[in-house]
Amino acid sequence: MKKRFVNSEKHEVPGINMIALPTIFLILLFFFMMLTNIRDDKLRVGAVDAPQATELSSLGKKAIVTTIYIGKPVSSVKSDYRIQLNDQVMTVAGVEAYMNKKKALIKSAEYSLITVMLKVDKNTPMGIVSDVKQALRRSDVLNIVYSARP
Amino acid sequence: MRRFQRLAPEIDAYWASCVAFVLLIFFIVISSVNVDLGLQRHLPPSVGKYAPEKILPRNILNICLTDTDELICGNQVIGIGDLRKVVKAFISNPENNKDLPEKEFRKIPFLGNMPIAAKHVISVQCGRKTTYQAYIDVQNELIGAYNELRNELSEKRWKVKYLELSPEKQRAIAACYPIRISEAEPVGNKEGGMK
Repeated sequence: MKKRFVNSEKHEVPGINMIALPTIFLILLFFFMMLTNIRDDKLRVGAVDAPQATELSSLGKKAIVTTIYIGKPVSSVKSDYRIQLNDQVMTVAGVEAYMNKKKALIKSAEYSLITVMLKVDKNTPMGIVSDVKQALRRSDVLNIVYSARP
Repeated sequence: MRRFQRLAPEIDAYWASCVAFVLLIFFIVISSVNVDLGLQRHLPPSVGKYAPEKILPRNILNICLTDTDELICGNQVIGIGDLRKVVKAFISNPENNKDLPEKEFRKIPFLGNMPIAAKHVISVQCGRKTTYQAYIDVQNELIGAYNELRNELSEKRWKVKYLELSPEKQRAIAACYPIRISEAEPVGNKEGGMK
């Protein structure tokens, strides 16, 4: 009886071969790198809940995209709907100035590639959206995409 | 004999796996999967650059969204489900009705002479308090109506869906049903919608 106990204590557990584990993690890492794109902007206008639609199309590869978010900040109670352009909060006049500045930076042949992605919360009143659209029209940026989810 | 056998030293892969795992988590956090999908539209050029053309009453379809999200098409209140049917009938005008848009014959590559409602305009107007979801619903139905008409034509001609055609043929079909949606400015109190 005693002999058996001694024997089992000497028995060694074989080491697990860990070399497969980092391989698997690296494969997962590369998979995610290919699947995703770097998250762009920090939202300053609260969560933007996109409206639903069925006839959706994706953006062309070549488009020069500017994103405009419109939403309501959650933090303050008496808050208005706010506009955020790429990563900064803006007014309607600011949108127009920004688009004019952006157009000065690129070649005139590429003007038609400028696209504005409107990511607007679904409960936003149309007034503020129209103001932004009029500002875009004034600065001659005419391609827009209403972001929506299927 | 046993003396000459060399065992390869075992590599401790634990730390390597830790590093790879941390990298993986880091990448998941900073990236996002969302593919940008949306309804593509083209805004009309700024007012004042081009003189607005005169439009015959038969060529125009007025769609109005009130502040309480009611949909008024022409003169009557309709549901969002009926809008696509109305718009399709308006654009295609199969029986050349006198109240629906006039048609003119144009030569189109691949298709020959086609009757096209080239002058029709769908005017969408909304109040300042209309919610964005209601507006997108209307835009969605309008684009859906155009897509359905284009699909019908391409299936009649080539027995394939519009999106599966070659780019030249797609352009020809698109020319048969040109998208002409006018985005009028919202009506109502300027400050009303902001409050």
